[in-house]
Amino acid sequence: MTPLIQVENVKKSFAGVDAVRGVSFQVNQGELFGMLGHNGAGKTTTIRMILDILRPDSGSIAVLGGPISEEKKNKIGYLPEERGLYRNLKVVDCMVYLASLKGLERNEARRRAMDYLERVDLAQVANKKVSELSRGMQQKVQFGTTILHEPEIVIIDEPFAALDPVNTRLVKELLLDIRRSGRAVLMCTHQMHLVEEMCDRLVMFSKGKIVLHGSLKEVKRRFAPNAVLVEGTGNFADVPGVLSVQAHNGSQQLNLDDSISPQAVLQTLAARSDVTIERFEVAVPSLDDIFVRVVSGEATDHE
Amino acid sequence: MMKVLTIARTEFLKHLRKPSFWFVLVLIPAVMGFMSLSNGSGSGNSSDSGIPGIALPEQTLAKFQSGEPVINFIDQSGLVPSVPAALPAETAALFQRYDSEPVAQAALDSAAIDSYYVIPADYLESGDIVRYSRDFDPFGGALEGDLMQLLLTTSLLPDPSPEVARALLQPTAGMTIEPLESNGQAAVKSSDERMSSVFQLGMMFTMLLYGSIFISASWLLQALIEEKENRVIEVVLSSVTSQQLLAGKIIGLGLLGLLELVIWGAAASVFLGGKLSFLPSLKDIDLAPTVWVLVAVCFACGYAIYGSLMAGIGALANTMRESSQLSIVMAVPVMLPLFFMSVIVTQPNGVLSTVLSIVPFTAPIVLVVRAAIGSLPLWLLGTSLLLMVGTVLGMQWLAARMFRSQNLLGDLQPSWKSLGRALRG
Repeated sequence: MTPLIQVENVKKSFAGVDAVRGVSFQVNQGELFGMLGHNGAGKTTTIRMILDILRPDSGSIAVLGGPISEEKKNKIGYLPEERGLYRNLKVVDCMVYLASLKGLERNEARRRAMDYLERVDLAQVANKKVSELSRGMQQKVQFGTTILHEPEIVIIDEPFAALDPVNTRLVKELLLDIRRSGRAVLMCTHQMHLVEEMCDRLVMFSKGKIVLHGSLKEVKRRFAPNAVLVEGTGNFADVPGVLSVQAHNGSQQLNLDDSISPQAVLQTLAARSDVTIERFEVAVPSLDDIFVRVVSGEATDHE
Repeated sequence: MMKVLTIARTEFLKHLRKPSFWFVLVLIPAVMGFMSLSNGSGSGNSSDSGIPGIALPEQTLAKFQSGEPVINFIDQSGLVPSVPAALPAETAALFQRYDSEPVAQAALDSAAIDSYYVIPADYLESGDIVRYSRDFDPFGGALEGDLMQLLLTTSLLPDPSPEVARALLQPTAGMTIEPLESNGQAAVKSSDERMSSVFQLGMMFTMLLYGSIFISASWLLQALIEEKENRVIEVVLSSVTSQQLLAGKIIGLGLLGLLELVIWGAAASVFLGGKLSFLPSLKDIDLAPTVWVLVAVCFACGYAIYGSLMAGIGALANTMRESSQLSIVMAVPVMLPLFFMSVIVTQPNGVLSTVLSIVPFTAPIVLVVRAAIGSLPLWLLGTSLLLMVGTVLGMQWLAARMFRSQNLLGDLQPSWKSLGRALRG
């Protein structure tokens, strides 16, 4: 299956400063792809190159199976982090204009805009000026302009910024709908729990390079310490192979010697009568922990 | 191309719906009418004194009509020993001769008179005359100048005669200009009437072109900055290229400017020749259709030049405040024809007029004014048009360099350094 986005060894510099230093990744059909990284890591520049807003200095980018074209631009929906709307236009006119720049016929754009506004409970503000809307409302309208033309690829930067929990859930559902329909979403966010919850695969940028790449499971496994989390009573420190015990959110994390597996520890604990086990699980790091470790240079994908 | 037209359509309609568009649409003809009227009434500040060839300021006329002397003078040169007897009695009554300066000074101090003139002993060598007045009145001397000229010229003649003096002062005052109208009839105008007509005509076309070119170019700048300030530019650039965006805006706002020009042109034609004209001096003017063609060409070139400059400013500036500071600089060359209008209409073939006709930043207005007053040589028209087209191409190249996505999305500051960086890319 041809990837919807294929980035190959792309580089870009501005006034002698390397912003992107040879990154490669691909986004497949029906995939929700996470793009992580600290501010200034090169994510936005990479996205702008995918969208042909900026040209790479070297490397190649293929979108929908080949070089970007005007027709292909019409199949991409983009919501940047620095975003806004025409404040002096009516909400529906603003949506129709931005959708018509994606090649959508005006009447059809108007119909879809009204449908969308109904769906997100904003039909009553369709004829109000954008400037009269709250920030959260504007955020929903912006999201609508991104998907109104039913793009095959949605590229979205911090989609949940300024949204309350109800609207966060709403936007999350809309993004998952896009994935379910076989289209692809490339999402940049700093909200790690949402990446863990939603993304199939991810890349992590640091200083213009990709420092982490793979499926969520792979990444977590790669960074997992040889440790287990145990809830129960008794002394776990003297279990063979346990190097240390530390408290961890009401549980106890048993850090294990490399020579012993979690399975062996479970068997040992089950055989002992001086301890009780209420919960036992293999410890996996949160994405947040991995992000901090990678960005601080403590670890990389290649370690 | 469809996207360019979509942008053009949206910009056209968006600005058409703004109250500011309608305000400006009405304002310019109003200013045009006001300036022409005030210019017309400018000659109304002086009235016929009843002395052939002499017009008096209204306040002086009032004194004249009340029988008070208007010009008080001391002659130290011996050239004006008395008010010339050759002057008609009612004119002679306007002059009061004082024998010495202290006497005149005392009269001035006691408010018996408002001013007095001293013709110094070395008048013939120096040509100097001094006017003393009680209050600061810089224009008083100028207003009474005609009477002083008449007094001196008459006195200097070996055979004093006010008629000869008047002929010496204004040898061509009675000249009439008789251009043949399209119907073969001669439209007889005096030189004063004609000067008033060409001045008003010049002002009208200057306002017409200045308004349409500069205001349309300013809309362009405003539209670009609005997109930056509203932070919508990146979304737009994900759908269209920066060049498509620029082209759409230039076309949409250019067409709106053209619509404005057509409406103002229609208003101007009412001022000019129609029965509704309230400016008598413009009533008989019959402009050749080629002038209107030149108006359209000059608008297109002027708009392309200033629109490109504004687009460049739009790429550099991030806020309306920054952009307005830069655009004020751009307004200066467009305003130059307005400042030098009297020179352009009185000396259309002079050095200044020729230079302003050739420089592409002032040429769009000056060419039209000169064509309207019937003083535009063909060689000059050709040279100017060539230079303008060349400048348009150069400006558009610069605008295209500036108006690249990288510059539009960057954090450029309006400085020479940023300008250089933006142009290098």
